Amino acid sequence: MFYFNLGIRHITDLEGYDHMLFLLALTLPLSFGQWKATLKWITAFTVGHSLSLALAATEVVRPPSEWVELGIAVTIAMTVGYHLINGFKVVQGAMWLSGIFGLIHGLGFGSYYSFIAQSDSFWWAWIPFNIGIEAGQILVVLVLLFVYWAVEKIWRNPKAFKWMLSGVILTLSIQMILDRLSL
Amino acid sequence: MKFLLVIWFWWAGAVAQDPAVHTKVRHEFYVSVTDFNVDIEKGKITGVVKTFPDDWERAMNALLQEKVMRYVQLDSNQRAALHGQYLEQHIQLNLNGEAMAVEYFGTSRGPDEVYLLFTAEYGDKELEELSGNWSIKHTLLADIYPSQENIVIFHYDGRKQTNSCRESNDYRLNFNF
Repeated sequence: MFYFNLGIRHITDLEGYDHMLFLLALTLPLSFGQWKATLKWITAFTVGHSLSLALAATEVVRPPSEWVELGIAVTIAMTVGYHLINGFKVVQGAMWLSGIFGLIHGLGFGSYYSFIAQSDSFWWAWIPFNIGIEAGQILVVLVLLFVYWAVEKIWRNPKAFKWMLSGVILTLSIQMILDRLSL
Repeated sequence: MKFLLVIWFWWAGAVAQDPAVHTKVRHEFYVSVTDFNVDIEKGKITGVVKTFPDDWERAMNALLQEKVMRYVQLDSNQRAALHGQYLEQHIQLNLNGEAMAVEYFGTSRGPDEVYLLFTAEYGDKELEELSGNWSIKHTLLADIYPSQENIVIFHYDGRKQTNSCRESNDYRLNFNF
């Protein structure tokens, strides 16, 4: 249970909101009605980050953390860009994008996990940690879908809200890229 | 739409220029991992704290601030004394309400981490007398990072329990064996 909670806390950590910002970017075109696409995109992200988390935590791959951090910021900007180009339509390609970008985010989770994990319980703790990340992710996505739903109910032009939100995410992610480039 | 674009550019401009608005250069995590082991063969508790070297150095520099010194200026004996002072202040161990003094033992360096070794004497108690409520207060680095989380793994008679000392639990933990 401890590692499960740790997984949740890691993804919902406001100190490092980059993973949440990615989920915000990813879910921009989604709504409760598109639950199948939501499930596919989030699962693809999970598959991607679970795989690379394991590879990074076992040190099979060990890219410099500066590059991983930069990569995470780039995935956020690219995801927003992708949705803007597609006019916030739910397109099949987003699932692949989510999976590939999940690989990059998993490298970030991996560096954290490799520090906290003990050699005698590495895999035993890996499963609840991953499930915790997944649970945190579902929580964040549900909150976002609820916000989109509420905006749709009270705003006569909900698409304008998504444009504005895209602008905010894009600005933050570009700022993040510039910050991380200067490391 | 034009109005929204104007709002966005205004906001983007404000963010880009305001140094107070930052994007967290890295997803930092302030964490340490500590093993406590009830070692019957040695007749004492042995412990290891694993932390990041840069965080540790920052904590040491904070301690040295009053003396207007830097950690890098210290020789190995001075460093050991400082490590001991800090560790003994920041880790408190109790068994069934009885305090056990933590004593710094040494330091070891890994490629990306520093290990601080310590012991705590429990006298001539038998294993059965060491069961009960173990209470730990672990505030390592919490003085410099408010979001510091100190993970504790407690080993007792082939069993182990894991939890963490963090701000939300006032950096206190209880383990029952």
